[in-house]
Amino acid sequence: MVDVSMKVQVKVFATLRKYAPAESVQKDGLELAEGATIRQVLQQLGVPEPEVAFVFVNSKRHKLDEPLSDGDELGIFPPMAGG
Amino acid sequence: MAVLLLGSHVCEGTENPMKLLRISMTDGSLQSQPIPPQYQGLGGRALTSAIVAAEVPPRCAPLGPNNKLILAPGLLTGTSAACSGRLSAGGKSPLTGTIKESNAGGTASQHLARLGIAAIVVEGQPKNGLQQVLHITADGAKLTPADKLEGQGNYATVESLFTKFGQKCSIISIGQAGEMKLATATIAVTDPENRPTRHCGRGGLGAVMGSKGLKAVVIDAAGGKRPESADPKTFSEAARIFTAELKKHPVTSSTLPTYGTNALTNVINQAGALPTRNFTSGNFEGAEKTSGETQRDMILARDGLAKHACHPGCVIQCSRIYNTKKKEYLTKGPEYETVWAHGANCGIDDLDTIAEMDRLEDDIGVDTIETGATLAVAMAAGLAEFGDGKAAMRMVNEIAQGTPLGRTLGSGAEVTGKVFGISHVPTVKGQSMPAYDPRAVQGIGVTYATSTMGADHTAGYAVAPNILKVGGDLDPLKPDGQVEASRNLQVATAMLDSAGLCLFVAFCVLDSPAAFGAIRDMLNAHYGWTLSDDDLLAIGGKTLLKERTFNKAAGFGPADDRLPEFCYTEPLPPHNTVFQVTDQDLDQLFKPLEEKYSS
Repeated sequence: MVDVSMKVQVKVFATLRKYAPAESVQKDGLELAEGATIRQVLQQLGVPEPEVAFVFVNSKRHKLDEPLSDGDELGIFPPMAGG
Repeated sequence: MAVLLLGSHVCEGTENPMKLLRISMTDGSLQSQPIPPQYQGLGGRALTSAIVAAEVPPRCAPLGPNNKLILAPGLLTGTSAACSGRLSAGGKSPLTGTIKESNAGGTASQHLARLGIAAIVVEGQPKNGLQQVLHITADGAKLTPADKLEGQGNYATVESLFTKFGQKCSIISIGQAGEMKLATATIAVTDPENRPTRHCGRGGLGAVMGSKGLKAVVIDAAGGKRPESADPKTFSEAARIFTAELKKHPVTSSTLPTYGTNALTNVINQAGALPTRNFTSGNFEGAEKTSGETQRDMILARDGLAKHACHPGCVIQCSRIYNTKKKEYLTKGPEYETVWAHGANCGIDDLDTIAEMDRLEDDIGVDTIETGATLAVAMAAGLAEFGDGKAAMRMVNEIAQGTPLGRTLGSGAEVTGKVFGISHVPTVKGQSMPAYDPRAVQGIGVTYATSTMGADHTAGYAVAPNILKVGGDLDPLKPDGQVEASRNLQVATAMLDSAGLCLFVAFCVLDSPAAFGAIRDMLNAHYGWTLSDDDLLAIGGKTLLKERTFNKAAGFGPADDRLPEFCYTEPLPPHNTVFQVTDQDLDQLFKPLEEKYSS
C-alpha cells in the first residue's frame, strides 16, 4: 500500500546526474509514502547505492535508512573532493 | 653580470648530490654549494622552512634585504613518482608576518630538479631597485636586466622570455603586483602550454620576489637529467603502486579529472558552508550556475579541455582549459577557490565574469583567494553592490594600474577592511579565510586558527573528514575530535608538501595504506633511506615545529591562533551555528608534536 502523503525536493550531482529525475519532478518534488527513507528515494530514481558517497538532507549529512519528512531537500553525491 | 658554473658534485654515501644555488641581489654574485649538513634529507616545504628558520631574522621586514626567498622542488620532484612536480616557495610573508610556504604546479620544479638544484636562495636587495631576470641552464646561471619587462603582466612577460630563451624552458615570474610589492602578490609558474597559470598564491611571496628585484627565473633543463635513485628497481615498483592507487581511488580517478576542483561548489553549498557575500550565509542561490558540473558543460561546448595536467606526470589531471564564448583561450580552471572567492563570496553567479577575473589576476599576479575575499570586503563597505561583476572587474583593474584604491585592494582583505571601516573581515593572521565557513565546518576552522601560515585550507584539509567522508567521518557542526583531525592533517600535509607531491594525492593516501606505504618506499628507494611510517610523518611534524618557533620569535602567540570575532558571535545560516572549538583546545593542538619531536 503506497499512500502518497509527502513530497521531497531531490537533486543529484556530478557523475550521478544521469539519474536525475524528470524536470517536472525536479520542479514539483518527488512523491513518497509517509516515512519513506533516503534508500527508497535512491531506489525510486534508480541510483545504485554503491555509487552514492553521501546525502545531505536540509544541509546535513544523513544515513540512508533515515526517514524523510514532507518538504525535505535532498542533495545526493558520489565520492567528491576538490579544493 | 655574474656567471656561475654548476659543475658536478660527487655523491658520497647517502648525501644528496643536489645543490643550493645562492644569489645575492645586493651585488649580483652567485654561488653553488653542496647541501649543508643541517639541510640534508629535506626538500620542498621542509627545506624552504628550514632555511627561513635558520637564516632569516624572524623580526625582519619582509620586504627588506634581510628576508630571503627560497624556491625548492620537493624530495620526489623530477623522479617518475606521479604528481610530484610541486614547487615550494618560502620566506617571511609580507601579508601575515609569519613564515610562509606556498606551492604550485607547473613545470619549473621538475626543470630545477633535472638540473640538480635542491633550492634557489635569493638574498639581499639591489640598491637601484631595478628588476632582473635569472637564467639557469646546465652550464650555469646568470642575471640580466629585465629591461622592457618591467611593468608587464605575467602573460606578456613569459611570452617575451619564451621567444628569447626558447619554448622548452620553464618560467617563474611576477606581474605588476609583485613589482609594486603588494602583499597579495603571487609567484607565477608556467604550465605545459607555457602559460603563467599556476601560482604560489598565498601570503604575498611575489612581493618578496619583487623586493629582491627579481622579475623572472628562466630555467632551461636541456642537458639535465632525471635524478638517479639509489635503488631504481624498488623505486619503480613503489612508483607503480602509487600510480595504481591514485588511478583506483574514485576521487583521484573520477571526480577530480571529470569536474576539477570546482566539483566542490555544489557540495559545500549543500552542506550550508559556502561562504556567501562576505561570510554572511552558507548558501548561495547561484551555486549551481557556478558549479563544476556547469563549468564542465561550458568547457566542453566551447572546445576547451575538461581534463588537463598542470605538470607532466600528473595522473589526476584536475586542471582544465577555459575558453571564451568564441572558443578562444581565456584561462585555466578556474579553480574552486577562485570560483568561490569571486562567485558566492561576491554574490556573482556568472562563470565567464569569474573566469575573466581569474585571467586578469593571473596576469597581474595576485592571489585569487585573497583578492576575491578583498572584493567582498570592499562590497560590504559599499564600494560596489554584491553581484556587480563589472564593478568587481573595475576594482581588479585598479590593482594593475597601481591607483591608491588598487594598492589598497592589492594589500588584502585586512588592510581593505581597515581603510574602509569594516570589522566583518574574514582573516586569521592577516590572511583571508578560503572557501569553507568555519562555523559550518568546525574542523577547517581549527586549521585556519592554528596553521603556521594564517588562514589556509591546504594546511590541514579537515573538510575531508567533516564533509566528504574521506579520512574519517566527523560531525562538521560539532567541535568533537576536530583538533586531533586538524593536527594529523597538518602533519601529513607538511610531509606531502616536502615530498613535492600534490596535496590532492591525500584524498587517496588518507584512505589507502598502500598509497601511503608507496610514498615511504619511493623516498627510501630514491635516497637509500630506511624511513618508517613514523619517520615519514616526522618530516611533517618537525617542519611544523620549526615554523611555529619562527612565528613565536616573530611575535606570534596563542592570541593569534584565533578566528575573527564574528565567527564566535554571528551564527551562520542555514545551520545558525558559531565556531565552538574552545581556545584551550586550540592551544593544545601542537602540544603532542612538541613532546614527540622536540630534540
